[in-house]
Amino acid sequence: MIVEREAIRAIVLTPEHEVLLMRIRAPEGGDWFWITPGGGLEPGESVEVGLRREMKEELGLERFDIGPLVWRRQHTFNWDGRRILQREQYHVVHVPGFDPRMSDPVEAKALDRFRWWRTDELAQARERLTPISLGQIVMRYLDQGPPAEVSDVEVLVD
Amino acid sequence: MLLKTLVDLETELFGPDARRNRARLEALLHPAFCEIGRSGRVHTRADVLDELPKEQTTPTIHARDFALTTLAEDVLLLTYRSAQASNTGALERHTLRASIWKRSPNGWQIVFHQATPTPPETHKS
Repeated sequence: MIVEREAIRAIVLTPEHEVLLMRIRAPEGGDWFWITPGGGLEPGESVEVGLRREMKEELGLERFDIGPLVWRRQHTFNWDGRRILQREQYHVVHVPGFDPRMSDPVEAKALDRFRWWRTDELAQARERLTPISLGQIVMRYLDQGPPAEVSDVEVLVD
Repeated sequence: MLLKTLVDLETELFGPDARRNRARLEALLHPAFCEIGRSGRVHTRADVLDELPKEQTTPTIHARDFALTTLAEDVLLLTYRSAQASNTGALERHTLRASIWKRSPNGWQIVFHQATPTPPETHKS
C-alpha cells in the first residue's frame, strides 16, 4: 500500500549563492541525506500557504517572497513504516543568509543539522542530495534564470 | 494525462511493491511481453514473473527525460533515461530505456522493453 502525497519544497538561496539544506534520515535509521526545506501539503492547502507554513515550522522564516518554480520530482520511499509516493515541486526563495531554527517536533527528530552549501560544494557532496541533480538545477537557474516551463519529471524510487 | 499515467506505471515497476507481487506483475505485463536487458539478455514474461519476486534487494532507480510517442491507437512508446543511485548520490549504470505500452480492457500493459547502456550525461538539467 503506497500513500501518495503532494509536497512543496524551497531552494533557499542567498545573494552569495549559498543554498540551505537539512541533513536528515528516516526515523527507522538508514543513510543520512540532504534535503531542501519543505514538506507535504495538508488537504486543501495551496502551494503558497503550505510553503509559508513549512518555512515557519522548519526554519523560523516568515518574511520572504516565493520565487519561480524550477523543478518537479517524484520520490517513492519508506518512512516510519510507510511507503510514500511524494510528488514535489521546487520553488526558489531568495533571502539573505540567516540562522534557521527548527520548531516542528516531528521534523526535529529526523534532523541532524542545517548547512549552507556553496554551489561548487554541491557537486562534491559525499551524501545524497535531494534532488540528486540539485547542483545542476541551481547552476542552471543562476546562469539562465527560471525555466520557461517545468514539464520534466524526475523520478526516484528507493 | 497519459504521460503521467504511463510514468507512474513504468516507475511502479522499479519498486519492490510491484516487483515482489506476482499478481501485480501479471496485471502489468502483456501476455506477449519480452525484454531485452542492458546486457543484451532476452527476458521472457515467464522469466520476469519468476525472477523479480525472488529479488533480495531493489536498487534505488533514478529516471528522467520521459517522452511519449503514439505508435497507434492505444499503443504508446515511452522512452527515458535511468541510472542506479548509490547512497552517496552517485549515479551509475546509466541506461536509455524504451517501453511499449498497450491499452487492454483491464488497463495499460507493457508489451516490450529494451535497455541500452549509455554514458552519463555531461551537463544537462
